[in-house]
Amino acid sequence: MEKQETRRDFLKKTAIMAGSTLLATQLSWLRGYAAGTGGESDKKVRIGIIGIGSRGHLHLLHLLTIPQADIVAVCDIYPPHLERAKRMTENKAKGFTDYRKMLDQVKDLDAVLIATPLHTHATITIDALLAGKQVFCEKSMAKVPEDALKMVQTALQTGNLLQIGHQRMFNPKYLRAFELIKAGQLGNITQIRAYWHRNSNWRRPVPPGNVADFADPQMYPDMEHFINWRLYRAYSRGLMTELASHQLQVANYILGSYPTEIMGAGSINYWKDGREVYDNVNLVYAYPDGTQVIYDSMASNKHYGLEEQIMGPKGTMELEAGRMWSETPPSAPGILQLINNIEHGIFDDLPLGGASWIPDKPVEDKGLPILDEKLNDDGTHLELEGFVHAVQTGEKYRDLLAQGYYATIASLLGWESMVTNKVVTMPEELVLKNI
Amino acid sequence: MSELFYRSFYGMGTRFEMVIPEAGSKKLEHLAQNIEQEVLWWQHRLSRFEAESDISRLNREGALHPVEIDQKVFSALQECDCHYHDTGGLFDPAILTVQTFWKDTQWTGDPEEAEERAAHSGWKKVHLDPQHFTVRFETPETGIDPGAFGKGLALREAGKILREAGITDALLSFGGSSILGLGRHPHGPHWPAGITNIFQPHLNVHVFPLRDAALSSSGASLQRQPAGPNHYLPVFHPRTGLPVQGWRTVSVTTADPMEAEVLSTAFLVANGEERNFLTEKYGNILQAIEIIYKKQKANIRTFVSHIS
Repeated sequence: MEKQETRRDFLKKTAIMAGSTLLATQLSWLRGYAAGTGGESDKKVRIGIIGIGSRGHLHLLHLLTIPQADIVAVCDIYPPHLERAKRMTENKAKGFTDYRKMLDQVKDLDAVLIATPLHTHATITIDALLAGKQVFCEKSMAKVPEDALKMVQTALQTGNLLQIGHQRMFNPKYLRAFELIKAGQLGNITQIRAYWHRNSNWRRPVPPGNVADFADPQMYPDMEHFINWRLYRAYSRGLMTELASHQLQVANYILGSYPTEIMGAGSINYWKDGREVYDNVNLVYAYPDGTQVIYDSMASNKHYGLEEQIMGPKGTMELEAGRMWSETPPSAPGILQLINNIEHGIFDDLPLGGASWIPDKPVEDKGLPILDEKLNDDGTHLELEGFVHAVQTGEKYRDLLAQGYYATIASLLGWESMVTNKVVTMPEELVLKNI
Repeated sequence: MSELFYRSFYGMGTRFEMVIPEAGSKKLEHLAQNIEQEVLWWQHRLSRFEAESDISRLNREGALHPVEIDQKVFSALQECDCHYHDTGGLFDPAILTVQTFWKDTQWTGDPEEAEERAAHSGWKKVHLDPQHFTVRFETPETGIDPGAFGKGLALREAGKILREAGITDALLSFGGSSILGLGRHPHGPHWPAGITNIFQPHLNVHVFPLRDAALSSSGASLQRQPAGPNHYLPVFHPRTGLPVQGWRTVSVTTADPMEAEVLSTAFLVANGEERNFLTEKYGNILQAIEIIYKKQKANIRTFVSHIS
């Protein structure tokens, strides 16, 4: 967000840019800003944050800029993170090391934001929902599909909000792309390719200390497992749950469905450092209409970075780059004038010719921007604005919950396919019946 | 409101557009598909940026052994051979090494070295064997750049497809630099194809009345500006190896798109005497003009005008 731009201006501009169709159906919280009516309420939302490591820390930074967000409690079992979070709130937030105590003891706690390691999401989320809290939980939802299903069922039974952290659903560039795709800009989507490539070991430095001083040693045998939980199967599904789920969510949304068959292969072919999750994953997701999503992620080469390539008979979009290409070129201005003249019975000189193109030279077609204006937010800030607004207004965003759920399921079934070396079919019992 | 059929696609590094003043029909859709296939066929055969094209193979291996190429491509090279001789060597699509030299030296190379390179390459070093459809290069410096004729060939074939299907009126444009006007505009006696001012693209400097005629333009453009201290353009005199200088374009109309393409390049590199030679040799030129920009103002010089 540019410094000179006020938050209100930013949100208003975002709302306008987000487009109308999706705005009406999925981003109701933006409508007030778009209309310039000051749709935001002054009502404060009392929020507790559970898990204030890297992602939780970022969320806290964003929430502190939202006037309606009142951070009344922070919770983390790791003392350095907890102390940092308390300092950031100028010690206004009460600190906890046990989230259950936070749920019990903080008066009028409206909502919690959960950014703990993956394997703890389900328990904490379910407890918070049952305690009557509105919940924002980071993606992926859970380490096993059954837990993700329980989270959804609990949200529905309690009637509480459960929003999953898929920020692309709040990113104006993506929303504009979704709108164009739904309007048929690319034709029927026939293939999606997505990838996320990094060249790093994904390790975090392990500080000295005894994990038993603050965590359950049955759960974390040492500091290495506590700090680098993403690398171990007891806590994480690695690239699938940390990265792929974002892009699978986008694919699911665009295709308007979830994958019914998944085949994948993964291995540890470079970072043979004791990790248990794959450092490269390669999958094909088959959808009911015959469309496939081809996905891969790796940790030993970053040349291609990350991208979602959406392809149809009329064109291509690259969502991360925010560019789109038509299978047919745009008309030359002179040809457009000719067409107009013919249609209207006009015979006039036409600006048609000139040595305007370089012969036999490979043309680097940079495509057109999906969104004309660049916003310095990947949707993370906006999804938190959305969460606060939803808590204020009582909106539930059930369609977003379904998006988060099926993204998690796709990630986890992909994992299953890789570890079992089998084609995995979406189990009927995992299909949501009531959303 | 008059009806028309319009299609466009990417081909040969530019956009191909066709306007046919008839209501869309399955027949026109089919023709448009045929034309796209034809243009892309030529692209895949001629492009030196596609590793398996005939021209790429030839440029890689032509100095090592006679390279057999597709018969249609061979015929196209035979036609180049005729134009090479008819233009007195001014049309020479085999001086790729000169082009590379100037590009590598960022337009500050030694003119004598360029001339030497030109002497060791060019169409004079290309040998065609019509019995075996093979091509051989006499020197390793020789390499063909089909940029000077490829679009003309493809445009001619596209026109042929339309004529054979009974389409009498159509306008086909290859990125504006190669245009074919079949028959006439539905509301006038011809297709009024203007050459736009480089610096004011909405203004026409000159308008060619195309009726069963092709128009080709070569030279400077906003995308291809004169470069280096001497304001060079990437078009070269085949004998001296020197680049064309300044903000200049040449536009030529003849009945045949390939011929128009050849002549717009040849006229651009030619000096006054050589232009007279070309004018005499090619009696079927309808119009040929040069536009020279000085301080962004366009000045026209006409070489040939057989159109009133």
